[in-house]
Amino acid sequence: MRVEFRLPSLGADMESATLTEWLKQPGEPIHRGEAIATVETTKGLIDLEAYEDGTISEFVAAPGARLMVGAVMAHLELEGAARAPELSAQPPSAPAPPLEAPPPAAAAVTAPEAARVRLSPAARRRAHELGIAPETLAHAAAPGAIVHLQDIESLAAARPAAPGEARAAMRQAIGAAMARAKREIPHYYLGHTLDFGPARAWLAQHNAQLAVGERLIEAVLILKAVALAAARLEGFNGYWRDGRFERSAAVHVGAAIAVRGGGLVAPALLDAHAKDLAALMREFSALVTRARAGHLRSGEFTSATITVTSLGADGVDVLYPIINPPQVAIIGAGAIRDAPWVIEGRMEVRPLITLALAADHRVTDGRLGGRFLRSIAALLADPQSL
Amino acid sequence: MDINAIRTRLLALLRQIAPDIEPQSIEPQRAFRDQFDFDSMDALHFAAAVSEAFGLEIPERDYPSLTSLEGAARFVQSRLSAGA
Amino acid sequence: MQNATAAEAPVTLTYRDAVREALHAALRDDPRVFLMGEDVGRYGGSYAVSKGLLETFGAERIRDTPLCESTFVGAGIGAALGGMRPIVEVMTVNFSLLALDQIVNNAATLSHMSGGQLNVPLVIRLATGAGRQLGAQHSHSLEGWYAHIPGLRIAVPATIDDARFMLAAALRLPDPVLLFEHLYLYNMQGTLTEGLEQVDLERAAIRRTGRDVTLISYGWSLHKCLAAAATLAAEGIEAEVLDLRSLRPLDEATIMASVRHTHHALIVDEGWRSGSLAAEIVTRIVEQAFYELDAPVARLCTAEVPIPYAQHLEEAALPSPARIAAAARELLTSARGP
Repeated sequence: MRVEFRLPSLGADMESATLTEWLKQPGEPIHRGEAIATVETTKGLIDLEAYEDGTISEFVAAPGARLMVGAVMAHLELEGAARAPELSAQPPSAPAPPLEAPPPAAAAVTAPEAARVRLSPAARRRAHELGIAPETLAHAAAPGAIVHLQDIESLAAARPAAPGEARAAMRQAIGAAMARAKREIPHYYLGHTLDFGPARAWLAQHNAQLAVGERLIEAVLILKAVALAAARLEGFNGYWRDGRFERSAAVHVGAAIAVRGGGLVAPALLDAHAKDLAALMREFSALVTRARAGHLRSGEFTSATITVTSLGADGVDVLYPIINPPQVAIIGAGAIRDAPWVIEGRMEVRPLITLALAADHRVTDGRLGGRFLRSIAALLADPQSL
Repeated sequence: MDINAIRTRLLALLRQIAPDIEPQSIEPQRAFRDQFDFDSMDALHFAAAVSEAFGLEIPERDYPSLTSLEGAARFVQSRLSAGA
Repeated sequence: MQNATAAEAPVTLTYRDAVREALHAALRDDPRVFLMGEDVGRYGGSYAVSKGLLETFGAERIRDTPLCESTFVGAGIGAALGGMRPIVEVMTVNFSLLALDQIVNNAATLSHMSGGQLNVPLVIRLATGAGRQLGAQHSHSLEGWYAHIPGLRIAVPATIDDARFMLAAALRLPDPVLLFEHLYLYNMQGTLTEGLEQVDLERAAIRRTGRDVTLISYGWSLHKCLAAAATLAAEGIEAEVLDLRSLRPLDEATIMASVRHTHHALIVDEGWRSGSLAAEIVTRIVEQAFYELDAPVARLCTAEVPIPYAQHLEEAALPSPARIAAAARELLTSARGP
């Protein structure tokens, strides 16, 4: 059974690899699981394994050739019936079509035309967005077939089951956004510690009168305080776009929510500045539930004008956040911890919280940033004002 | 109410809040927070679910009793028998 | 007090009536406006558009001209330079070629060559298109050619509303405007949108919304596209139908927004495909919305022959609802694997 040995996709972000070395020669027996070639990828050198027993009939690609995922590297003669290889990008259709005379190995500098998967532009972009290597589509194996947008959507819909993959894609997305933030945004950082006692006391009193489902949590007070301060002080609420700051009148506070098992999303609480605490709590509660169930709405993903992030009760004292572009500011809330605090010349143990601001220096300076943090602190010191 | 029945019910509530939890992997004595990244919102959701499912008033000061499966089961049992 | 007319039903009128009303209103509202062309006066217009206007407005303002396009278009340009608001009717776009020098070398250029000192607020109305067995020399669609020329604005009323109100919009502009009236549309019946008092001359219009494919056209082809869309809808294909309205400038924003929505575009143009307006639209979509496309942009144009006289051959040469529907189906399924 003669089959094509193709460059497999070794990760969602892999597009190509360079053939470094053939570890076997034509005619030499190969065994399932045995390394037959080495390729260099962005992740380093990787050995490619045979997925069946057999022999290499002939090489198509020569060492040094840069190959696209799915490119034919060699022709193999396999023992036994053809089975769709699990790892290989494109299972050959059976019976194998008559092969043209392969080009001499030395001439195979790039992927042969036959190996190129044809995607519509829209399909290619969608696949990129979803972190799918389109070459892995079985559909693409049909000779001459074109992968359309619908094929990518179907594929995406059919495979949400692999949590590892989803997590990897999310990690990739977080990485891309944060790399962009660190590359493009001149961050400055400010920290401010305040006594959370008044807020906590007010909360206890407020919650005592309410059924469990209606109670507020501390995070909501912080979200509201940030929203109010952001609405009052210009320069922290909006987007940096096309080389300038676009102020937003409404404050949509992105709430960074940890997804169990790793990862982070920061969907928006719309018009947080204009909502009372009870309404904000209801929405926040629903948002967390949906975020963890993976049912966020697309608008919630893109509309936040400023973000608040926290590591929760188990967190550390200070969290230095990274701005989520195109936003221009983010507040990191540290864990509330009991610590000594000076009140009117006396030391007292108080619940303290440190808020850290990361803001975009293209829009504001530290002086204004300081005012922003202090106005959040003032609001939390007077919880009635929320 | 039998404590095993309470445990089963609590487990179901827990699964509603965190569907990704595998029931057989839960360590009954260990805090939810350490086992599956429970945060204050999860704790509140769990308290609300327990309150509704068993018809209990749960003031904030009792929250610490609800941090593990075993703790929650004992809390519910004691409150149910106190009310009976 | 009488209120008998309060609940009056909208009046049905033809496209021809709508153009005539537009002319009537323009002549009534602005003394600088006059109409000039072959047979526009005593004969009432080659397509009976200006019937009755001579009687109402007199020979000074409804002027019959000799059969010499270069002369009367040139005279129109001169009148516009002199402060008038002439409306020149050219019987068909085919004959406008005799006035090409006046239109392209004078009307289109004077404002630019004079640094904006000489405006040419001229409106030229031209019948265009095939479908009435008038033979090659009376049936061509050359509006795409004119859309090539900077300094001109090209608009195509395809609906009763646009037939009624585009003329006024054209007269408000300081630049020469060519209004192309498809001769097949003159007998089309419809009603005016209630309360409508003016239209713009810049924006394309979505005449039917759909999610699967955008049919881009203008003039008579618009109505063929709407018919095709109805056929396709019965098959579960939702076609969006875009009326270009203005061929120069092209409303790229509306075109791209629709393509972004449907990911498929089919351009239906009664012009020939080589070097055509359809080609220009394809290019712009590829330039601006390449990554939105799920299939190559498709075109359906008139067969590359001078329009035949014989009815069956003329029909065979032109885009038809059936061919548009077939092209849309093909576009949505083409090159898909088994």
